[in-house]
Amino acid sequence: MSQAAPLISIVDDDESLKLALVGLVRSFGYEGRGHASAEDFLASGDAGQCACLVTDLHMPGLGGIELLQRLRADGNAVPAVLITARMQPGLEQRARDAGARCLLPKPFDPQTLMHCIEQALPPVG
Amino acid sequence: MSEQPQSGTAQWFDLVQESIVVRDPDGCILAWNQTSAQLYGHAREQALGQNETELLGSQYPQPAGEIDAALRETGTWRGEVLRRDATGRELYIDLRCSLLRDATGAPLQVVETGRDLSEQRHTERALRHSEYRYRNLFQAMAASFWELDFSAVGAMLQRLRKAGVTDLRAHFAANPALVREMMRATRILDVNEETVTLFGLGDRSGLMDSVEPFWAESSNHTYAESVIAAVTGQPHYVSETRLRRIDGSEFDGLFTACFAPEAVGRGKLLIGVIDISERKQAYAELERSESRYRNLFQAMAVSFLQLESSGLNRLFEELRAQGVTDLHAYIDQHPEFLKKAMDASIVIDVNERSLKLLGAKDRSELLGPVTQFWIPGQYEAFRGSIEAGFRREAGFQAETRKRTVDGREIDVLFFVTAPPDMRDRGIVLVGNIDISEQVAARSALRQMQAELAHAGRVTMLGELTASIAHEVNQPLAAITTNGEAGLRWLGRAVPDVDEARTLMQRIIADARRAAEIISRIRAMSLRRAPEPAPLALNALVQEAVQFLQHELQAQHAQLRLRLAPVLPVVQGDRVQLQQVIVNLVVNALQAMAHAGSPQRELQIETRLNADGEIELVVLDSGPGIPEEHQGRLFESFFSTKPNGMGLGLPVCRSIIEAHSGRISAGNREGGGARFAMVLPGPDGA
Repeated sequence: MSQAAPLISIVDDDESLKLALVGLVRSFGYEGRGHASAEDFLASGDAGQCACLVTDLHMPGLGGIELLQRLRADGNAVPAVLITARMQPGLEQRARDAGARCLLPKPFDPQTLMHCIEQALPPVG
Repeated sequence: MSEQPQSGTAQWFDLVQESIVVRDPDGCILAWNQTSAQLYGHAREQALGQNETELLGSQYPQPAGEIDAALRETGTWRGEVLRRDATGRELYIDLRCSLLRDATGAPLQVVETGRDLSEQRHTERALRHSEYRYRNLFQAMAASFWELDFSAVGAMLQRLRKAGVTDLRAHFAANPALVREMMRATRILDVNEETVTLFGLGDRSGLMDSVEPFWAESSNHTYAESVIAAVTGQPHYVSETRLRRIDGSEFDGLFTACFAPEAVGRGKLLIGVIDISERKQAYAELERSESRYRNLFQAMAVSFLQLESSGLNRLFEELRAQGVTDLHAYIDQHPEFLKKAMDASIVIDVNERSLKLLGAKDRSELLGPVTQFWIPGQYEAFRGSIEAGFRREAGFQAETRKRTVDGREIDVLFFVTAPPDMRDRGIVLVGNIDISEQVAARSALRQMQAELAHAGRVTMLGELTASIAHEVNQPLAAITTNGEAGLRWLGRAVPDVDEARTLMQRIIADARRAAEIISRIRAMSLRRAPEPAPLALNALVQEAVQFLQHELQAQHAQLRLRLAPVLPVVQGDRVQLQQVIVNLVVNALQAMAHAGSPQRELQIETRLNADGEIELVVLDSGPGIPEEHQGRLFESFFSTKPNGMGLGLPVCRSIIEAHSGRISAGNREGGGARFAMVLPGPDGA
């Protein structure tokens, strides 16, 4: 583990879930950093550094899909996992179109989430 | 076809002064004499060959078949026939028909002779008419009329003249017995109703004999003068005089005798009497007002009961004598007084309407103490009425429940009218207006309000299932995530207990949060399936406004409806859409109340927008929506109100979305909030 642990960025307006997700990725040995909104995340500069993005879909201001669209438009191809408390028909398609690897409904199985994240990370050399 | 009588007979045929018509058995006119032409106004050439019945518009006194049968059987028929001449004038014809037969006995011709009775009939009719008018007048006049036969008096006068009496006036004055005898000889032929009322005992008995009993002894000279006036050829005689009723009581009357020459010639006389006594005047006045009152009493579509309340007055006097000034306080101390007061308030008369309202078959069932109408334990209105009476107030009214004599309970508006002078005389008028329907309508409205509130709750739960999914899933997701992370820390070669403890604390906090959310939705019932139907949005608005009338009034809010005169129907769930409208209005009212807006104006508009969608807009004059709230208003559990559930607007949104519509919130120019919901139009736009 000479290399720094990959950074997993968490974006969720729900404070407790954000903390829990940061704790989860940390317990799996990753670096985790949480942001309360898409705007905060974009402003933090983490977008250019993170190995994977986990973001909520419904948030005040920029939503998860809009965030991905913004990143892709900027040429940022960071792998992303979307989580949502409200599954709607057609949502999966929209998530895929926006370039998300996974769309997980809340409450999700944390192991499934970690599996998604690890699949999305570039293979470690 | 037509055969005029042979030349020899032609002359007499036209000379006969009666109308002669010969027709065949089917009615076709074969011969028509000159008199017929004059009578009916149709020349011979015009009449021949025509159908007689049609030409003359004949109306027979019996069916044509019967007349034909009579002709065939007896060979003749006679009757009065109504016909019209060429100008349309009605003619009454005395018609005689004779049947001529051929050699085989078959009907050949009918010969009719007709005599014109028209003048006679018209006169008779006019006479009947005028007689009828006269009879009506005779009966209807507010004066007493007598039709008298004085022919016997005429004979007596002739005897006097023969006996050498020249000064009738002196002779009558000297012989009062003779005057009484003339009175007895004056026979009564007819009297009118007013005479029965004025002189009689309720019917005509005793009124159809002689006039003698009706003349007071002191009035002999008046009678004598009237006789003198008659024999001296005066057209009439008028005098004030003393008259007597059948029961012997006397009164002052204005006596008028008319001596119409043709009547006098037949020994007949018409006299009139008007009661001019003051007593009568006053009585008539009283009777008029009494009858007005009786008419009103009977005709009013309100149950009226007249009470005799002298007993109650005595109870009041006793109390006042004891120094009681506050009956309310006294009844608090002596509740048994109420029963005593009821027993002392006696129904002595009721109108028709009371029978129906109070379930009585007969008036008598309602007479007696009012106690039977009051339901034990529900004496408040009665109590109020006697307390008002004790304070000498002229009226009292209250809504109350009463008991009918057939055992039902009814809601009535009970009112008491007793101006002090009436009350002093022991007269109290009680009215009852049946308000069962109004009360039923009010309770139906309350029921509807409760149902709508319930529907609101259950609809909310529809949103809540989504809200629960959202809100509860957040802490649940956090809990499982924290749990998983905790397991990871504890599963390490060297378990990291500190990390695990932190996570356990978060898990507990998240679980508490979930429990709080659950408790917010406790006590809400299950979701009702929406029932879509074609609905008139304007009608929904009207209903919602009616439902909210009380709220609007309580908040002193002015409501203006600007509803599109024509609007396509929308497909939707009535209760749910009504819930949305009610919700938006209540929100607006609460926002204005919360902000203490002095001017509380609310406007509801409906319209068909340019895209063919149906739009409903609710505008208020409140503070409007702060910019920072605008995006979150429709989120579950978002509330700007101190006690708000934050469920109203999310419920509205989920309902409108379920109807494939949109809902939005914003501010209007110049202040106030603007909520708009848009539903698809008929073409699914």
